[in-house]
Amino acid sequence: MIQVKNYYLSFGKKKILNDINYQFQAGITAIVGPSGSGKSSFVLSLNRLTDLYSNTRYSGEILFEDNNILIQKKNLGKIRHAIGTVFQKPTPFPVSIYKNLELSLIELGTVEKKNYLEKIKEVLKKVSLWEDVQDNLHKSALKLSGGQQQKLCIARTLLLNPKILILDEPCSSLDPISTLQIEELLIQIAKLTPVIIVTHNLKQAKRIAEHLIVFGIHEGVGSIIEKGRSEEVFLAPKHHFTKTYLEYEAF
Amino acid sequence: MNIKKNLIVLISFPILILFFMMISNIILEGHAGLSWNYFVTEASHAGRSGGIAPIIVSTTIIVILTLLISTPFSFCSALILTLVISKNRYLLSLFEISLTLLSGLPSVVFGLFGSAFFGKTLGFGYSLISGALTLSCMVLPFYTKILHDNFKILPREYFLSGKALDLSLYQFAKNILIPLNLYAIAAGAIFSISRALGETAALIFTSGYVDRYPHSLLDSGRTLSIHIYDLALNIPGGDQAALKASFVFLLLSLTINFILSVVLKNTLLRGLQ
Ligand SMILES: Nc1ncnc2c1ncn2[C@@H]1O[C@H](COP(=O)(O)OP(=O)(O)O)[C@@H](O)[C@H]1O
Ligand SMILES: [Mg+2]
Repeated sequence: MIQVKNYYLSFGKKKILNDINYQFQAGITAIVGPSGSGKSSFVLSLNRLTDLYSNTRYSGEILFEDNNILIQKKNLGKIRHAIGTVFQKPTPFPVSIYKNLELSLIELGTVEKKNYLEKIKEVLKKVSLWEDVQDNLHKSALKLSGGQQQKLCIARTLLLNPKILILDEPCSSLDPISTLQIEELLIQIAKLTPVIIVTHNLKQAKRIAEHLIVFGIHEGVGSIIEKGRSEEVFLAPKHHFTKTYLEYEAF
Repeated sequence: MNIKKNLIVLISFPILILFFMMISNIILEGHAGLSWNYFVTEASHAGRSGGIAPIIVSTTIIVILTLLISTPFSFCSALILTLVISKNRYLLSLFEISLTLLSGLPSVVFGLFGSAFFGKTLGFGYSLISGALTLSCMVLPFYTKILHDNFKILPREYFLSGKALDLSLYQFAKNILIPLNLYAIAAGAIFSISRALGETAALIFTSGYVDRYPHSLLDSGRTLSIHIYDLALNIPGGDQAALKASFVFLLLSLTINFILSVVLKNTLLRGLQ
């Protein structure tokens, strides 16, 4: 599992995250908090996708399988496969549905080409997309609806056999039905693979998460305000800010 | 409101008239004496009589070579700007300013550079390849700028997803960047073709102006624009022939644009299905 110790992050001169400490656990962990509190920056840090931003600077430790990934120079690709990420905006690639999934298998490099179709069918069934797309595998993925696109993005990440799955507000642009389907899916996945989900939707966090992290902003810098088992935080928040946030957002 | 509208009409009117005068002059005088023979024979008397077959061959070769050279180079430059150089804001603006300045440089400067570098240093002499390389240098800055400007506005999630799946640069370019930027690539390609078709100053010192058939890419050849330029400026009594060649130029450029728009429409529509 991932353990974060004294993690600080800044983009150039702008401080983003302040002294983050957290030990992730099995099951679903939800991260909530106001916009701009650094939730996305935090989850993207867990596999160093923040390196893509300009002038990223960080200190502290992020331990994954006993390695501090912050000082790792090689094999970041392997880490990004092991810690899979799905983003807020569904980004199916502008090629066919089949090709979208095939790309993952090509990069993974451990599946024989003749087994591709079987693998792709299996994962599409898992994300309950097979029924919808089985006749259109070679049509452009851009033709899919928002919910289907996001399921495809999850499928493409699952094909890489991640040991941890991160989702950054995966349902924020989806309708309620797709949202519920994705929640179902995450509960299934979380039985085997720890899931970390950033969400704006407190009800969603309540429905699916075992663990909760509440982010806040202090003088423009994000930090963890409160953390713990989800039902405990929802029932009896310790921090004043959490209380108001939970009450306010519950509307 | 009305005044503004009238002003616009007033300004555009002379431009329209000028345009029609030029076109009608070329069409009326240029098509006289045009026959099939003109397209399949070589020039004689320095172009005053005879045809333009070798010139069409050289023009086509130079245009296609320029397209084939400038497209991958511009694509790679834009890719490097987007993926690597953009991490440093100051370096990026330095490069962006250079691109803008370079794309405004007079073409004769590229001609002199091309003749010195491709002609002498690399030893290509006066040749189609020298000319195409020089034209590629000339269109590269603007072509790169078009592509880079389009890469810049892509949602960041595409780049993040590419990294998250650890896609190789080749797979990322092939499956994401190219399909998403077909329109920009088409715009750049059309820009390249039209610059190559219309260019004279950059070619006189590089591909030369020999009006016979080129024997290889290392042989010199004359493009249609140079032919027109030469007839109009250097050859006494070449005016009529220049108009005739201009008429063919119009036809050629219309044909190329037509073919391109059909091809692009089909591939683009297919790509977006
Ligand atoms: N590429 C970037 N460069 C500089 N600052 C950024 C960049 N992306 C986000 N930020 C800043 O980082 C802070 C945290 O943003 P983010 O992690 O997206 O928060 P959240 O996901 O909680 O809304 C914000 O103040 C935002 O302005
Ligand atoms: Mg966010």
